[in-house]
Amino acid sequence: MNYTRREFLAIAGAVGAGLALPLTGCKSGFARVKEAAGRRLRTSKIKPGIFAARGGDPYRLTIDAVRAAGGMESLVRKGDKVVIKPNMAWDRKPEQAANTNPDVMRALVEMCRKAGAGEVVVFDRPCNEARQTYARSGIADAAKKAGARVPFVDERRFTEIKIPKGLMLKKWAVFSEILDADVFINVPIVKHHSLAGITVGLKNLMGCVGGDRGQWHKEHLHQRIADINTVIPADLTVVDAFRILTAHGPQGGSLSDVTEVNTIAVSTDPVAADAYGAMLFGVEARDIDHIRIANEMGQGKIDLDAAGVHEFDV
Amino acid sequence: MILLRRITQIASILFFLTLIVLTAYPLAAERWVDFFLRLSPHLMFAVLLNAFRDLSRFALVFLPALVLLALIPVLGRFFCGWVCPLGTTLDVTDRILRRRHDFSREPLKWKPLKYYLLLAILIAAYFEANLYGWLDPLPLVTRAYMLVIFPILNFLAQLGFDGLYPVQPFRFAAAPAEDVFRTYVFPQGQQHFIGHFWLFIIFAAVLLLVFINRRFWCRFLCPLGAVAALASWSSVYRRVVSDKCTECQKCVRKCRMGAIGAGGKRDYPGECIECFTCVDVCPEGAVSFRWGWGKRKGDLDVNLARRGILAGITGALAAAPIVRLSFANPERGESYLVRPPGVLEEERFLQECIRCGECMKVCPTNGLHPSWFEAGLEGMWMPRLVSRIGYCEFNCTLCTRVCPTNAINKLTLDEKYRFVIGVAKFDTNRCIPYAEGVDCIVCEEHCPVPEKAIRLRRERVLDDNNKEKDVLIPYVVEDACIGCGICENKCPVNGQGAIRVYTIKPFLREPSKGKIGKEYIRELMPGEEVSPWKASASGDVFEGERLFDFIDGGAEIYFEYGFIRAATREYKAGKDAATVDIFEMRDPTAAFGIFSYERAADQPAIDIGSGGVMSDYQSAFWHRKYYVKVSYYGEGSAAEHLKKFAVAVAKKTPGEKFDVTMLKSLRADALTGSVILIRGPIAMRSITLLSDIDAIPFDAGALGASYRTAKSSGLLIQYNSGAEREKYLGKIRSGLANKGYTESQVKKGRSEFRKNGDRITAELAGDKCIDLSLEQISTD
Repeated sequence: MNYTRREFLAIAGAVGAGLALPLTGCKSGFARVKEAAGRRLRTSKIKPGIFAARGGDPYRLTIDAVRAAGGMESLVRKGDKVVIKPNMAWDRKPEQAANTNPDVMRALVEMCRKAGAGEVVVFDRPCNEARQTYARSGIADAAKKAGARVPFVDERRFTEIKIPKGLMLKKWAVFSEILDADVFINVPIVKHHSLAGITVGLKNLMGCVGGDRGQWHKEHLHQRIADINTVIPADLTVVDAFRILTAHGPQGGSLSDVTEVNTIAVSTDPVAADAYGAMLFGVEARDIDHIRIANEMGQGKIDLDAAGVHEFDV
Repeated sequence: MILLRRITQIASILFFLTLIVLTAYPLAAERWVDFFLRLSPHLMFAVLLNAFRDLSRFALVFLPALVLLALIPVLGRFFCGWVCPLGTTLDVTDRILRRRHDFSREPLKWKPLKYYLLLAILIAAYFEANLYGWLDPLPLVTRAYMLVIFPILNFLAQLGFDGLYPVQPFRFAAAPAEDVFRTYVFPQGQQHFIGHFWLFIIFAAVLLLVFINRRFWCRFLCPLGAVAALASWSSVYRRVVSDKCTECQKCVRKCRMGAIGAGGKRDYPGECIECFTCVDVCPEGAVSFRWGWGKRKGDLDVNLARRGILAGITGALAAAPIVRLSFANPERGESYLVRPPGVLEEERFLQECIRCGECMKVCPTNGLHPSWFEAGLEGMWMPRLVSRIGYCEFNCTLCTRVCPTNAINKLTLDEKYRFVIGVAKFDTNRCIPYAEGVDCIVCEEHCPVPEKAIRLRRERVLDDNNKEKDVLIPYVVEDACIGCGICENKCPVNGQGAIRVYTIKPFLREPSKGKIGKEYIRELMPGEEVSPWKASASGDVFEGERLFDFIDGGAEIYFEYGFIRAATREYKAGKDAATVDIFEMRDPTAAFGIFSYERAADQPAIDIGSGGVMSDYQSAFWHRKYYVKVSYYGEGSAAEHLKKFAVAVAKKTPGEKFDVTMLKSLRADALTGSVILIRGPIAMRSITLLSDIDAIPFDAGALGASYRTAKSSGLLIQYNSGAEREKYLGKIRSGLANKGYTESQVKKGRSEFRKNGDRITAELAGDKCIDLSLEQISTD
């Protein structure tokens, strides 16, 4: 292990060069502010309107609601990359109704798999510690067993995108998996929210963005929610109202704030899905600013009669 | 033997490193992670001396140390040579740093130093000064690996992966490795620790002492080594040199502990760590290790000097007060010193914490950091929660489960939910809704306490353009706050959080007292004490704006007085039915206010709570911040039932009767039942006396109280100050003048305003009240 000075310098030089090579790439890597355009909707054969299955267990309800809307095969094609975004923001158990029900997720992942999806990705950017949140919510486990990949949000995998129609947001970083996805399914749970009023699907997309989300809350939260929805629209919104959180949202914690509504609703129209969630919650959708604004920006129908509601019992 | 020792050393340090890796969520090896730290007999003696009142707390903690202590007289200091992770680390670094040097020189004849040091530590421990956590090698090496080396390795490895990430062929190759690395090796991601640099310097210094001697730490300083040396002074397993020895000095030069005296035949007792180098290097094969009994002949003298022992004692007597007195009053001094959950008494914590850093390593939010001087000198390197960096995760008890000495008491999740480590306070100068009048509910949203320790109230403010608008103002409910700091952590204000967690004396909140909010108001409902009445359902609770669902129309007045929540429940007994409504108001004044507003002047009073009334079908009373209504629907005698319910609720809200302060300034002849407290414009509508006159600044906290006497009707107004009263008295004067009243001063502090048959008397009452009364007088 004795080196002459010359040998040592030669080795040091070689190692240094080896390290420097990837590091040069590193520079451009961190500056990966590729200003991409938002995602484009998949043209699907899912029927328009809201399909709501009531009664029964969440797994069954989800399968029946999707089937009523035309089945997952109408949306997912062979080899597709499907991203399913639940609300998995809080370190809470399923019965506390702070996160999407894991059985709903399991049903969706299975259906996507059956429809031939090449890859199904489930993720969220939680407010609590990610590993504990993924575990306690029961979603990571359920989705993995059903055949999904459940990655943690990787800070390097955000892409800044322009928001041409945005009023408050002109550009913002979005988790790249969504931009790469062929099909994007948004699976919110219906919850009280102290500032947004209620949170359903439109607000759930806040889990897809990077950066300091806390800043969004400072005034104009509603407009920002509507803005981000213009660039990463979901192909399908699955509203989990099996249990809803009626107070102390969005985190809850007390079972006395949880009400069982036993409903899973499916719609391709994100605004109508939220309006339906609002109806289940017992508020007027037009009173919830971000739903109203999204409607005014032309993202969907707020009037449930116009949207068309098909409710059925399982 | 050397090979065997090396294998053991490698296995031992790999085990040690594995345990460090496993000191992370989900804590798969919970029983093992603190194993090495519980091996030290030195810590056992020192901690027991310091905290000898609670020996039972350590019964199991130091079991491994006891076993080790029992083995040493037989096997010698094998721990130092074969097991100790610091020893192994030093063997490696010594080798790298001093490859070509001769080790035989021992310029400092300091062998006895470790004994003096041990003596000083133990004496200081008796005087309740914690030096052992700084000097024991096992916390030292654990801390060094957890807080210094692992973060550095993580940084370098991540740098490598990040470097490969953007370059496609590399990314593809590195991704699986990175996955393993992120999932298993450094699952927490990059950890940072306050004062990392200084911890690095200290550890580096211990390693660099090799330039004086190999294993300098073990030879001269290590207090655990000293304990082991003492225990092995007449070890049964010992070095034996045969006659073949030619005194070539090879073993003397190679001995890493300097344990062999010149010549090679005689040993210093207690210094040998059984590395077997001497056996290996002896060209004659003269050295071997044998079992033997009895006193050893020819042992060299360690030369424990009286002077050194005296120095040790003096040192301890000086160090103990210096360490103890350079303290910080945790409850008053350092306002932000927050200990991990599970630490109940600061005093005891200072005795029991050995500064190993396990809790800091395991903390999933990287919130626990070594303190430097925040808790006094003695608290240095003990954990504190720095919420702005990482908060205390609600559903997490990891730090309480890894603590080797139980200085952090183990908590179940249920206890953790109730363990109060600090209390959050707003900096209203910087908090967005307070300071800027703009909504922001981030702290409230993140507050993990189910009933919310941060709540919101709607307040009316003026915006930039002087237009009124509602803002959600957050406030802290201290009875619910556990000090977890997620509010401070997530606060979007730049720099320091606009809400911060302050020091309190930690405590475990009683479960019953933890029932506040919704659960608590439900508990106020009458139960068995009203039998034969039975609740027909558990009833509803309405909070905030959901009151509109409960009271359709007429709910606004509740908000005007200050409404928090309401509970309602139905009771049945045969064909009779009754309902109980309990309203939790913002404060007692609000409770009295809504009570006074809803009662009829002629209702007979009953003595329940702070005041009540009863009619044919309804009774109502208020007490503390509760306003309670009972309604009866049935054929029987209402009064009996109504009273029964009211008394049942009143019993659950104990406390002195409460008086609304301003009513003390009320005229003596005012009819008590006629008083209506006024806190806003809705209640003011029915008061015609001052219509269209801006006489009461309700938003600033002024109050009104209308009343009747036998002849007149009146309005008492309470301002915040005498000066404010002067200002508004002027407004009342000019307002009445505009309405055509003529003023005449009757005496100082009392004026009369007349118009047709009306006479309004305005009189100053108390230091900040005005009493206005209207009387019809004959115009003749």
